[in-house]
Amino acid sequence: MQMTYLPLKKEKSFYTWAGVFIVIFTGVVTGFISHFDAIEAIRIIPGVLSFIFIDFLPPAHTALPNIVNPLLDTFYMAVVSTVTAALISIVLAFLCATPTMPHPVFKIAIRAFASLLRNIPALAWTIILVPAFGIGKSVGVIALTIGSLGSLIRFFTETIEEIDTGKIEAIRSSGGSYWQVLRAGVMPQCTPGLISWTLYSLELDIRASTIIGMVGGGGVGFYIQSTIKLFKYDHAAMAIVIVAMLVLVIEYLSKKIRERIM
Amino acid sequence: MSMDMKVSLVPKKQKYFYILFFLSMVLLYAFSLFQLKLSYGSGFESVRKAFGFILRMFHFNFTDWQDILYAALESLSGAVLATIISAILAFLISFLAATNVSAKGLPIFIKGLCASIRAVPTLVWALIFVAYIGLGPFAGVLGLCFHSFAYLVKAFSQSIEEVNAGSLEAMKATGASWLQTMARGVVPTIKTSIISWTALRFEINIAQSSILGLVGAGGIGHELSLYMRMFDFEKAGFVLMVILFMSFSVEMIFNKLKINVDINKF
Repeated sequence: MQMTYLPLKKEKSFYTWAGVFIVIFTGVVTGFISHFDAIEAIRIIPGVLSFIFIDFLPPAHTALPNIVNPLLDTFYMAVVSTVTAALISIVLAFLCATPTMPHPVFKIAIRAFASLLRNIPALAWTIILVPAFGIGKSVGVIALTIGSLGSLIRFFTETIEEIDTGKIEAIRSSGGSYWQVLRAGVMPQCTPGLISWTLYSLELDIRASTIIGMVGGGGVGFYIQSTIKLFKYDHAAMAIVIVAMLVLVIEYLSKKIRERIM
Repeated sequence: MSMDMKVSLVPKKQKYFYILFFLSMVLLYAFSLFQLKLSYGSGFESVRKAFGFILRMFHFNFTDWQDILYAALESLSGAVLATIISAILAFLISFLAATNVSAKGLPIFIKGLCASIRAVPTLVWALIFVAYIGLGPFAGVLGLCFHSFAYLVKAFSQSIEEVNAGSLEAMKATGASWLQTMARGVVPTIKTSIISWTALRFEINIAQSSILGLVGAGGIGHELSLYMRMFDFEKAGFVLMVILFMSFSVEMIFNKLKINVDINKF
């Protein structure tokens, strides 16, 4: 019996090889620019592993009493900045979202403002504000607030823009004022979305507040940074593990609340 | 039926939950604010100073533009390289981490490892590598690689697990080996999602690479912290402009690419 094989997508192989070539070429060029030494990277693997598993692990549980306070500070900073940012963002998002904006000018201005805040990372905001506010928790709170403001305005606006505008139309046509439209038409629809974005922002802020401590924002990041500089790696490891656990707990809780309201 | 009947906007049970949630948030907020013991006394003066400094940043000083642009290029290529390396490694490992195509027990081990790598922020990994290797972009790229690898393994193995079990079964029934099943059955299906996950991670890496320098891992963040420490706000302002330009243009390019590129041709 004569067997014929169908060629399997022959015409695509040119694109595949071109893609492989582009990726390798880009890798070599970028490796050259960023002084990346591939041989060195492979050679140090055993060293890095022993550094992590011998110097860092096991975490020193004796460091625990010193970690509790900075960790609580980190948590408080995240809560304060998220809630503050959420309160400001709600107002700005209503002014910015298409169904509720009083005038299109607000939309353009607020979107540009939010995008400017968002595209400078919270860590960079900390560095920018440290000369004025000094090292400490206040600069951390302000930097985190600015950072979450940028993203929350965007998320809130998107949430408000996704609602069913038919209801708004119905209330308006039955003679509802602007506030009545907001209270009866917009709020019931977007509250779950607003809450879940706020919780998401809290998660992000807890992660971010651990790292802004490294550049002078207070909290547990400062502890990690200073213990690593003092070569007390097992102390740093304890703090890192605790932070990871805090992040996981917050993620779990916010997931549960989100499931409950959605 | 009476005329003044009220229609509740939100179900009763939901309403109580909202009230409980808002009350507890307000309490938590007040408690946190109280516990932080921020100093409000000098607040006004500090805000005035901050605005003064930020205004000074707008008087850009371009004298060190060569150093700054080279540092920006360093950050950019660090992000590209870290994305390429971690995507290739994660692509290979993700087959072992997907429950439907891997050996028993292996996926749980790999996924647990990746989850613990991901739980530690990129910047902390960079800090650890800086402590081991020393200051410079090499440590930054390794830190980025580490976190992106764990992130992409999770994303890729999830895509593999979504592959239709029937088509894998059919390939096995024709006598295809494991490698053949992966190459002809799995890869064509997950190609699109792999490319979009990698693109997403690339955007994250670009954002991360600009701040790696703040912990001593090279790139444009290093210039920013250098000039801010010297209170050289005019130069720092220019560095910030470069950072903003980088992140804006990456965002725009990716928004364009998602529309224009026929991902299936790749």
